[in-house]
Amino acid sequence: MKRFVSLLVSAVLLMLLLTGCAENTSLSPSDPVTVTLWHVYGEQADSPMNRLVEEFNSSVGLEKGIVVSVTNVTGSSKISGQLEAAIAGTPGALEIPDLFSCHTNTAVVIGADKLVDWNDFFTKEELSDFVPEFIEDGTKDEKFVVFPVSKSTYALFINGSQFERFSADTGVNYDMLSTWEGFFDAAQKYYEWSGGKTFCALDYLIRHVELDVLAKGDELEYTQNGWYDLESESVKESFMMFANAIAKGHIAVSDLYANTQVMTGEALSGIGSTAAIGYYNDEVTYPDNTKESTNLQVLPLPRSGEGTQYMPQTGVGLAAYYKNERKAEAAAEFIKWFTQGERNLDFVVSTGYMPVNNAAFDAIENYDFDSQGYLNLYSAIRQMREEYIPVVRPDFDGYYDKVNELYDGIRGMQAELSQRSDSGEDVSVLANEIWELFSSIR
Amino acid sequence: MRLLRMTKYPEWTLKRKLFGYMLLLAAVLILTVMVGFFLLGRFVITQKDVYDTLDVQMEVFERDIETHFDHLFAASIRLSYNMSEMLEEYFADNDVSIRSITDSADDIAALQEKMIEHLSFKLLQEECSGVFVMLDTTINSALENSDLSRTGIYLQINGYEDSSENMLLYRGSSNIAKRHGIMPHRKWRLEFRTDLFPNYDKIMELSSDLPETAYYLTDLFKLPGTSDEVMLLVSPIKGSDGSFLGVCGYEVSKSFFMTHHAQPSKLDHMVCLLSPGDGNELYSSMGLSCGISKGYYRAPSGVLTLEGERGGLLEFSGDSVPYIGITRPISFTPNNEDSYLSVMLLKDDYDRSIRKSTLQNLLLLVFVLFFAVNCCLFFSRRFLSPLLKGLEQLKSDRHAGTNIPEIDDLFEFLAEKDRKYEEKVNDLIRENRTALIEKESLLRDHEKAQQRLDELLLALKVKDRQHEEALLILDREKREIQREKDKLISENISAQGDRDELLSSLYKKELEYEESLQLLIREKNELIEQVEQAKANYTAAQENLSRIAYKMRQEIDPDDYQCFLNGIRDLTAAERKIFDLYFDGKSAKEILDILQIKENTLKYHNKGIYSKLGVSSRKQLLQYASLMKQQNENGE
Repeated sequence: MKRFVSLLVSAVLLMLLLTGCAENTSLSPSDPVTVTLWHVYGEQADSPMNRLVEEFNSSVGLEKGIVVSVTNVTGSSKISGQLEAAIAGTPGALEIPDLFSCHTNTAVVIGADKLVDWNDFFTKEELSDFVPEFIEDGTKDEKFVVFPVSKSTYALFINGSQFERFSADTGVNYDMLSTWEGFFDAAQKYYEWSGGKTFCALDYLIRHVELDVLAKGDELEYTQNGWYDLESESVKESFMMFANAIAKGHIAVSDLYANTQVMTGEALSGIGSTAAIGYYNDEVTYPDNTKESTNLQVLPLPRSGEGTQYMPQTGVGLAAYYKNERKAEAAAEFIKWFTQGERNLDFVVSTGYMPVNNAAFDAIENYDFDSQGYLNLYSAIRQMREEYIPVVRPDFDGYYDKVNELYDGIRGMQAELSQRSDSGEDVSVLANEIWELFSSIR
Repeated sequence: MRLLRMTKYPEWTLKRKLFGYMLLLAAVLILTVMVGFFLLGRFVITQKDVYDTLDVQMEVFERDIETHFDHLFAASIRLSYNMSEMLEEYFADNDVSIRSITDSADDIAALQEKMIEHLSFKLLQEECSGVFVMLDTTINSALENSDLSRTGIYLQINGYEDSSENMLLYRGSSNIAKRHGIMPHRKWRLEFRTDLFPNYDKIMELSSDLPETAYYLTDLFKLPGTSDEVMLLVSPIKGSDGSFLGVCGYEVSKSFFMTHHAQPSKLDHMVCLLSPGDGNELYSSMGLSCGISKGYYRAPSGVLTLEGERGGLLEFSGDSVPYIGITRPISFTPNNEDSYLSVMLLKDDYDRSIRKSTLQNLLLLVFVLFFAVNCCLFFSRRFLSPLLKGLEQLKSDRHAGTNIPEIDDLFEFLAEKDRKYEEKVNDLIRENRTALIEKESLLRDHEKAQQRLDELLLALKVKDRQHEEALLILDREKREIQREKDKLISENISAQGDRDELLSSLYKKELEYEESLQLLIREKNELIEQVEQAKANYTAAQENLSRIAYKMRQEIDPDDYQCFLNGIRDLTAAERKIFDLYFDGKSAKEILDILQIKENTLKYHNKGIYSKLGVSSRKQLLQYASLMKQQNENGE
């Protein structure tokens, strides 16, 4: 009996010893854990992210017992609201995902304490592979909660086929679009040339106002409510530059995304996220179903004056809602795999993003792009990275509600304003109505 | 049986034997229970459990899919009639037809304006990810490949969302859609392309039939420009005159299917699949799949081969992850081949549950064995301890009661036997004494007989000597007579007379000699007979003594006796004195008188003597002492 007990105790000790020797992981290939993922890569289009998820699931995921399940592909502008609804348990909302794309400000709204701190799963050596500013951008309350997987900036996308005709007729060329002055001049010429069509649709109007203010050498000042200091002359001057063009119908705030207006022939160009390149069709389709090649041209953002130029640095990262250690570890494994040098490069160049790790950044110089549009895009990105200073966007609580209120307001009035402008009303008065709208937001 | 034989081992203690029997009984019982479990199918219950669980999941999944698709087909047929009615009303009002509106942007825009609200309402109303109407006309027939282009409206929602907000226009006029608050899809196009429309030829084959018989489920296909894969539930739109106006229907996307058909399940990793197949293979990449509502979902990929049925369960191989599950054919329309519904569990999970069940059974067995062994140990100890205690008491000659009637009876029996034995020993002692007395008497007789024999032998020797002397004298006289005879013969004649006289004298002398010799021989024979008689008596006495000694030895354990003999050396002077008195046959009372000691002192010394000599009673002591005496006398 004593021998039996001692054998039993020995077996238990041996098991404990072996367990101690085993790899310290909560993952097991025989008991796979599911990580639900919401992302913003390829909404309504071909999603490289979904393909990578499938690749992960059938390789590393299979080996380590992780199944990443995409349960929502949405837009970066909508994901925040969907997340908040899911966390609040709003009727009809989706289940809270384990891993999701989000901006840092969304992570703040959710609460950094509810999110996985990636520092727990990545060594300092591993993190040293990433651009430090991107990591800093994803750190809140000393917790690294938003892992940068891709970064984007803005660029000017042009229907090259039509621009060539326009250029041939008017002498406007791409070089003129390198400054806002040349841009607005070309916009006016296009409006006239096209018989009243929009030269450019802007996805993020207010960001251009901000960058212009900064380029003038002024500081951006915000009120306590997280809105712009309307007393700032610099802000008003920059805002009115765009408001005048909107009032005249030369440019417009995009209906939803600028690319749809370009591909339907409503606008010649659009300024939006570099990631929008994936949404541009090869062809522009006009209302009579005639089509022409988009011949997509991508230019850097127009410059403001001769001083220091700024470019937005945007793009969501991946955050994980902490549910349990297994899911957190599995999410971290996916991110490690997803952000490895070459894979990150392939992903970003197929989605129009900038890479997040140093190796991918270096390799992008010699990347063999399979389309002229992407080559143009990365040429523009390279130029901006060399000549512009990246600026992160504000993340005040409620800021984007105000921004959307402004955009919705302008969308609602811009068609009418251009008609009134065409009918001879004073553009400055019309533009002032837009300023009034801007000023009315608190 | 081997175990039974083992328990026969004589060197095994009572405790071990009892434990062995009990263990054997426990093993037989466990074996019986296991055989019962086996016969009742207890060991295949996990497999059956898995089958039953998957069967229930299949029932739920099948009902879910049948209801959903049946409802959507019905909605598709209703939409077909609604669109037909709307188109005919427009054609009648504007005196146009489906053919005449080709290239008419106004008519097409007007029709789309009429349709879009209805379609957006239907999209929100039905469980689908998209709704479409594709008319058999185009906005610009002058364009290249315009014969493949068809006007219409295709509205979509994000398949992942339960909310039907953010409706998008995938095909149709963007201006009209925007006026209705619907943004163009990122991959928007103005018109459909029939060459990109799935199963268009088959749909056209059916277009001559009415919608309620011509409805059709398309293959899964990737929406051009997107990564979303969808199936369309299509119905033809027919004019009242039977003309073909177009097709309409609903879309179910992969993402919608995955989100809306996630199955409630107690299983951790289950996948449900709706796919084409042939009963032996399932084309999972061409099907729709979903996971479970608590989160697990991994889309199966490739061709799944169905292999080896195990109690109704099939193994699905071909994907990088093997599954175990069940599959059933399902028919959605009379115009489609059967599809297959499959409910699959990760094979690893299944194997693990089988292993777990086996382990549980083994653990149960080990536990029962452990319990049985402990019970056997406990009960055998519990049962044997009074027995062993009794045996110890038997050894120590102290009877304190054991609470076991049989043992207490045994003690009484042994006590009774002891008493009888003591009596018997006393009888033997008495007999021994008598035998000793007889022996002494016989010895005395023997000594006397020996003495008599010696005397007789001495007398015989004297007689012999006398006889020899007489013979010598006679011989001498004979020789003298012979010499005289010879002399006389020489004197022959003269002495003839003398000779006769002498011869007569010699003859007389010879007769006398013969008579005395006969007398001596008779006397000698008598003496010899007396010696033989004395010897016989001695032998008889000797045999009697040996018989008594043998009898005593038969009742005495040689080891105990040897212990007895060895113990004598260890006796103290006082004990040796008492022992010698016992040895001489003195009774306790006589010893008390001889040694002038008290009875308790004697008892005390007795105890020491008993302990050192390894005897438990005076009776045994006396018995051994008698034997010792006997051996001493016999010089053994």
